[in-house]
Amino acid sequence: MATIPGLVLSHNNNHPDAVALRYKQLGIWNSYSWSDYLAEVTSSTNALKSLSIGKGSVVAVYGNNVPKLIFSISAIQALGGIVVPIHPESTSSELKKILSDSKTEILIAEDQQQVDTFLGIESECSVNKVIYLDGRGMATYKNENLNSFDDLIVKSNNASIENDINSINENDTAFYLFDEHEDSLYKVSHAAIINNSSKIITLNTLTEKDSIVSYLPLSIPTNLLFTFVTSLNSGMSLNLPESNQTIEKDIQEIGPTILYAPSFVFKHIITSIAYRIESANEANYNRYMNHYKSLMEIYNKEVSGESSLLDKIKKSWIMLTTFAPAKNVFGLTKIKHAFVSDGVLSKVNFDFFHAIGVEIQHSFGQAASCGCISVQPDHSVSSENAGKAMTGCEIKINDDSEVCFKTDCSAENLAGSNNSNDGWVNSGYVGKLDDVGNIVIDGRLEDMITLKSGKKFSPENIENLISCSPFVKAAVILGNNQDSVSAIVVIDPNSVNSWADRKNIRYTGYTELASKEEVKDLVKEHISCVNDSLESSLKVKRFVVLHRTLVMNEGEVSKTMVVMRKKIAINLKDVLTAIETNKDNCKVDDIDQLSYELDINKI
Amino acid sequence: MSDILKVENVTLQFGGVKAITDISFNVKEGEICAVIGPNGAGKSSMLNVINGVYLPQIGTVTYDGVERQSINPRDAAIAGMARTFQNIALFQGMNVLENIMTGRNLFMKSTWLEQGLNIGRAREEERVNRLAVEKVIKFLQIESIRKTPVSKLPYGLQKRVELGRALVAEPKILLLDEPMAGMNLEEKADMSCFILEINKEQGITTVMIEHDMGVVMDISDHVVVLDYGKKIGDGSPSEVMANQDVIDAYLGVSH
Repeated sequence: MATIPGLVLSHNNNHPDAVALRYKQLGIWNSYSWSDYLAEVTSSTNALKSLSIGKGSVVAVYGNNVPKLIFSISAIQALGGIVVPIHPESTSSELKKILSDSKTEILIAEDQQQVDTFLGIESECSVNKVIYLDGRGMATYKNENLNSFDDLIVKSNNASIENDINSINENDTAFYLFDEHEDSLYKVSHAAIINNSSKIITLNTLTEKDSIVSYLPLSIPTNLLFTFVTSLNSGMSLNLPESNQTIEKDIQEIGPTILYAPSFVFKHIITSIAYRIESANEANYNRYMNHYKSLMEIYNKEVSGESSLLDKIKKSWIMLTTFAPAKNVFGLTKIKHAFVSDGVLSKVNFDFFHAIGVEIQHSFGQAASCGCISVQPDHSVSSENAGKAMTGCEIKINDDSEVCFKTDCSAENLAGSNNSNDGWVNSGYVGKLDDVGNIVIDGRLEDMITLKSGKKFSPENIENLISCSPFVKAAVILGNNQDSVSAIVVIDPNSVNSWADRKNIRYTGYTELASKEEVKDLVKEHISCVNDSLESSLKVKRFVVLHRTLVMNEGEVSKTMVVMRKKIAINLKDVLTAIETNKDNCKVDDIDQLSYELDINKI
Repeated sequence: MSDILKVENVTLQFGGVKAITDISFNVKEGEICAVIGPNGAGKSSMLNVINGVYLPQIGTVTYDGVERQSINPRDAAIAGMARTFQNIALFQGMNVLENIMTGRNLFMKSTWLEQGLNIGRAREEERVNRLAVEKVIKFLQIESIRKTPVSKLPYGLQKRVELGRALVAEPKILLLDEPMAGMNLEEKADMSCFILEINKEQGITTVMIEHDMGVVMDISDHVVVLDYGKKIGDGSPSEVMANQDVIDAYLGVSH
């Protein structure tokens, strides 16, 4: 009975009073036991029945992780329907693509923002009913296809749904998952995604006593697997934050034992620490800097097995006075496993987390592999790889250095299969296998850069190195058909603000701050350090400090903050052209219809 | 719709200075009424007359069917009038939650002893009032700063907190004194949305003093224009815009 709603039913039968879900609402954590969970799923199922959702119906859930959306996933599937999770910040073109490719019939939207985005493209897709959870702001809307979920629930009965759940098959399609990079949908069955999560559970011995926070939308395939499915499968509690602005505080209050996050979240923690430290008083600033240095020295000794008793005592003192409180602020005190997907952490950041006892485990996966094919084991100390293939998975590297995999938990491309004849799937990523079979991901195949000299490289490694500085939010490496490598650098507003305040640098806003000579020097100094670790042909010779951050709504970064080069090449073509033609400065006509002057700096 | 507020022939003098001269206007139930005018036109004084801070020498204010020449501010609050101020009047040392909680003062019947010891009625009152405050915090989308001292907040957010404090009093009529002063474009758009929702979805009548003409013309149903303490215009936004006296007052007139 391994189906998503089947898992809810079996938890209800086995331990009805255990906590299944926690959700902060109106400032208070509310919990749902498994019996409450089933009751909510039952009422949602009966409400959706009235819309004649049946086997094979396609229903999109469009919003953040709020309990009603979580319950409606199981409710749709209990009726044999297929769930299409959509990111709440999806642009209208992306929404149109997902809705029309998946042939979605019914859309469950969280609130006015999502309904408005949908109404803009209503005529271009086949959706015939929209159900919203929060009707705020929509009192004057007269569209007949709009329905409130609460109204539907009030009108429906409360019949048992056990028979409905038992009649669905584990090989039925459970989800259509959208892969942003490939711009296509994947068909995922109940069995595939549940089995994949079972592998993660067994590998890391996760139990129902663990707890996990799901703060990113479930439209991100890796997040769906690691938080939603894994919590349902293992019986651990799933915790949902109050709003996107309170995530940090909410994680601190819950103190989860398992953390899943794309790499940008961990980078954000590093940046947050940096900006707090930059604005601390002189004594605290110096203490932190000294302790950080000592901690990393001791950690390096530990890794090489040379740490002495004195080191252990010193580390305990440093942890007690500095890093334990810092860990607590970010809710990391009880973390046993911290899974990272969508990119790897740079060595400096990876080592830092391991040194303070947060064991980062890189993983690799995408929609085509149901979210995961490999994950690093516990206590792994290498920041480069993403672990070995999990049981049932095989990984090989083809002649183009592309990573190919075979897995017993695969997902089928909805538009047509991208499998080659013998069941191997091309991942779209370039990588290699190390001596012991760990997979090392270099970047996306389409992003590979070839210099004029013929030297081919993946920009992501250099970008990772540049953005490991807390002052850098993102970096975009350029160099196709050029003599040398250049970088567009996006500074982090928070940490650079604090830094500028400390240095008494005056500015009015982000754009002016980014154009300050001192900031350029700060970036230059960092890139020079990065250059020291790069081979001579790959050294970054020129850089631009961008006058704004990259915008998710414009598609310049993915939902997991991965740089989307195609869109950047369009939006910032003036910068790219200036770099290609070796100019010293450029005028950018930007997406906000304004013009900006940017300097191209040499190193 | 009936008039919830009638201002009739009100004149207010401070010594020899006439702040308001013979002003009359009506506010219908459920509308957004904007009071506009150049600096020193008597707008804030008008609001202060309405909720009883100032006592007019001549004239009456009829609120909710009761005609009065004066009303005590506390009685005005009990009768369902809530207001915000031009210069933010929050308790700077307290956090957002506590500041908004003070707006629930009228709903607390327990004694200070019960409150201090958290016993008897005080416990239940705390729960009920906290819930009301949390609903307003959610409405105004300030969950992430509920425990932040207001002195650390930027100006735009402080204005929002002040609106929150007025809202938790569950008013029938809301008096807003320059809710958007000093805000940037984005903050103004947010604040306009909140005011519209308060008015359209919660049905609270709103009287608002505002300088930003774009906002006034966009969101109000009814505009009253004051100049040098006198009323020079009264009507729908389009009527007021076409009124020659109003144009003269704003753009100046050759003498």
